[in-house]
Amino acid sequence: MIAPALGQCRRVLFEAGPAVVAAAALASFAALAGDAAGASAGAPATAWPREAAPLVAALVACGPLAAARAGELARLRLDDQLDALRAMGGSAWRHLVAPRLLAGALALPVLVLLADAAGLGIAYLDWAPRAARWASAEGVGIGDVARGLVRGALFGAALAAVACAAGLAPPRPGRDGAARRAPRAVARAAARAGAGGAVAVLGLHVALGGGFSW
Amino acid sequence: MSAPVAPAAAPAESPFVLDGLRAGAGDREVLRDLRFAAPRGAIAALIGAAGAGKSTALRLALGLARPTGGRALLLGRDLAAASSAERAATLQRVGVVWPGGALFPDRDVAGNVGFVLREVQRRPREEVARAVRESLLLVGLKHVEHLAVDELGDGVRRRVALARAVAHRPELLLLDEPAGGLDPIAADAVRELIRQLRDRLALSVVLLTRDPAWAFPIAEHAAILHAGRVAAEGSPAALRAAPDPAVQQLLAGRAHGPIEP
Repeated sequence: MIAPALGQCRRVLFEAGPAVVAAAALASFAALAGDAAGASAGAPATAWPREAAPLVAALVACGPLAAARAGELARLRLDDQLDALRAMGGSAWRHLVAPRLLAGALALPVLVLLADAAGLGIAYLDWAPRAARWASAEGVGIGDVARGLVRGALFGAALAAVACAAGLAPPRPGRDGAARRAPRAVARAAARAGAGGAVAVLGLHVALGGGFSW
Repeated sequence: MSAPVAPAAAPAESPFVLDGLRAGAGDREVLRDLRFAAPRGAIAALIGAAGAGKSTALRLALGLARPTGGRALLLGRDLAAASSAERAATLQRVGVVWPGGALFPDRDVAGNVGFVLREVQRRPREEVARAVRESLLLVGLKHVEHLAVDELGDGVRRRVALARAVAHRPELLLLDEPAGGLDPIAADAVRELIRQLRDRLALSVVLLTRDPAWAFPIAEHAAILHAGRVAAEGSPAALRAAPDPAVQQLLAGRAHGPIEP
């Protein structure tokens, strides 16, 4: 299970586009820091690695981790690979679901670290003086980063679970056969997983005590 | 109008029995009282137009779906009613080739061919590597173990699918459209391979295909599936003489007749 999970993890990280995660993190951090130093002036900088960076990374990963993996599983089902697996005595849980859950739980913390680095990096490199003052005043520590990584792992597993549920759901029966339904069924599974993943991440964020105005 | 139905093997002796099978897809009844028995050790063919229910029958026989009536016996076991242990044990004695091959894209050729031995039977790595090499040689392939699936052409892909289906040395080989979509030369090569595999490995073979012209040269027993049941059954020669208009339409490949294109 480890080797397939690492393969999936590499694909998620590649498809997520580190530049996209970094750009989203930069924009979010700048907005958060600007607001903290301005009108609200009450947001602790520790909120960035603890809550905001995992949320940004997870929402960016809804595409590569939830939608893309769901599309991949739906394609696999429509191409008879799921039936082939089961007819050979293989287990969908062991060979398909578990590696993806593990990949999600491994890949998301890497993206969270990237978001941490992008956000806190601009502060500590003094590219954004107001943000730097904000972050350094709060004294962001390793514990804050670690908490964010755990949060990211939970988000990653949740996104992978949504992807598996959407991708492995049976297609609607129809007269035209699997081949003609395939493109629409794959697109539908991907769309369901993308939207469902975003809802799951936001729900989990709130359930873990996260807020939206730090 | 029913054609001569040759004496099929008695259900108890046959490795593949469809016994009054009924199934539907949505509100459409796909199989209506389908009865078919493949003789042991023979190459049998279940032939029908697209949408006739061949793949549905295969999925029911493998226990991947439940029939609405009747039963399917694979090596004497009704997998839809079997315990998971019985089902797993029976499937270890069966090899299946799916339309297009259904190879796993995240594994290389060796990972696909050795899947059952490595992932299900947990055999040692060296033993699996040897079995993979031997199975690939059986289908005429050498030095392809480390190729990715998406690097393979259609013909090679089907051969790899055949190698995967026989790598664990099954007793029964089920093939769903094994040559569908291939050019005539590659299709003939696959047909010849199936014959060779049956002879070398003493397999019982069931072909599911829409192409009687492809299946008849190797089929020793065949049935034509129409409207969810067997319209005619027997040797290819007997089927050619069958008076059933659906059978004649399928054999002649005509657009006009009881089978809707």
